[in-house]
Amino acid sequence: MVFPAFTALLGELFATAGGALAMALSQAVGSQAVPPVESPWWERWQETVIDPGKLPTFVAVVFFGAVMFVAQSRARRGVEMPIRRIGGLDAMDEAIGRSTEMGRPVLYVPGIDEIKEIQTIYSMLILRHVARKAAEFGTPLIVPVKDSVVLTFAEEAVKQGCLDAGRPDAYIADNVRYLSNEQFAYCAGVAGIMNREKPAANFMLGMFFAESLILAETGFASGAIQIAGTAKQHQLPFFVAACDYTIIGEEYFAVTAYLTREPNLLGTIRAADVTKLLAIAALLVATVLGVIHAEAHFAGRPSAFSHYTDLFKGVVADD
Amino acid sequence: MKREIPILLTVLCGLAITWAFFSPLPAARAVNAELLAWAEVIFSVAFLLGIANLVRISLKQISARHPDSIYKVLLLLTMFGYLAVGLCDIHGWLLPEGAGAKDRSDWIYEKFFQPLQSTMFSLLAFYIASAAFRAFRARSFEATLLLVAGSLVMLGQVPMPTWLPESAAVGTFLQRVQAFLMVYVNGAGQSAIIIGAALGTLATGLRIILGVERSYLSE
Repeated sequence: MVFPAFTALLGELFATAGGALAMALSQAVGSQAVPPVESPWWERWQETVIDPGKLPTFVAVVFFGAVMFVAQSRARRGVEMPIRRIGGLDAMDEAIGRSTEMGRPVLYVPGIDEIKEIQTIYSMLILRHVARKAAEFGTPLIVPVKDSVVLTFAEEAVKQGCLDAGRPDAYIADNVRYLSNEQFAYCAGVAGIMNREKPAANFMLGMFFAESLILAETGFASGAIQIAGTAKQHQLPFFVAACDYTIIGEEYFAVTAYLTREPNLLGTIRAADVTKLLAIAALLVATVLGVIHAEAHFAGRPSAFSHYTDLFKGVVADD
Repeated sequence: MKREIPILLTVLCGLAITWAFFSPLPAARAVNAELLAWAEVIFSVAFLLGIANLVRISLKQISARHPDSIYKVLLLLTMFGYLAVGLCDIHGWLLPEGAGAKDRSDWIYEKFFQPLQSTMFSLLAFYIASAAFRAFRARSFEATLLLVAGSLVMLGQVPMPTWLPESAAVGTFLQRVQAFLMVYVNGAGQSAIIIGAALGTLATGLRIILGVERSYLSE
């Protein structure tokens, strides 16, 4: 059960924090009750509470979180946070409008991964916006899904989108469809919908694998306007080649901030930009040091370059 | 409360799993394993919802005599037929003499499903050709660059014909060009996308875990 586990976890934490506090206090008052300290408390705290190998990642996450909160509070105070135009996002309304004019449905494919994948979760957030716009225009929205948990999320997102638009009657339960749990069976099902029901706009936003090009090319052949988006870099070339608009990498995670302009969400975009700038600066320093100490590096001797790169080991964790 | 409780649960579960990633404490790992086990149970139960959705929509289309209803009949027959065979295999019902426990369901899977999957996958070859044909048309400066780079990469991957003068030297040169384009130009672009996507993932994860992003919740 999770509760005993939680209790044990709290016990360990209190023991660690309490021990550290007791030692600090005893040192401060000169008490002899506590045995002598073998290593500083922060080192033992680090070994027990944070895996030392993951400390750089932890520091990076905390730093990012801090930047995010500062940016959010600035955004809430009214500091303007400009966000560049993203063609694919501007074209969303246009694509749904085109479907409305042609009297054909809109197709939204949320990728083929499970709900625990962050891109699938984010796809559900975008789906709500697409559903709202489709409901405002009175256009049917078809959402085929590959995973049954995603099905329940998609049903809720579409329902909520229709409510946001003030059109709860626009929700058609039969249009959120579970097709198959198998990759290519699902792919065949979506291709079938594209060919038989002829949606005029195809949105493909989420995590895609080998089926990406089959879906994008089938959609192209059916004459639909296509907007694709993924952070999976291996599938991006296929979408770029076959779709009208492609939302690339980080742009994909900026959709809700872009569409709602909510200060809290804009703050997170600013935090990502600041962190990216720092990453670029760190890379430039590494490049300069690498050039200066190239000889020592290739000879396997320690240098300022090797010490510098050691600092970043573990920021990208293996698991 | 309809919004606060789900947000609280999201924050608690998200923090517990994040902590389990960073912490070597056995209890943190235990909480993580327990939460993941709960998630597996939810996934298994939700599978029934998927089947219910599939059956409901198919039966509706069949009863309405939709033009595609023949596909729906086939779908239901296949799904329940395979389920029946699987159940017979599990319980050893109607098992022919000398047959293994999963012989029949494995046979259906290997002889019908796998070839169908391979057929779908093989379509990719044709789609790559048609997409490349469109992408490689030199309509603009960028498209021309793509055409030239793509051609060089392709040429670097194939052996040079022996009748070509200096074929070995040309082949080596093209391989070097291909390696340069893939490692430095393509590699740099991919790294940039990965860094951007990783930061986006981190931002989104924190937004959801800390309850900043709430649009996944009902009003």
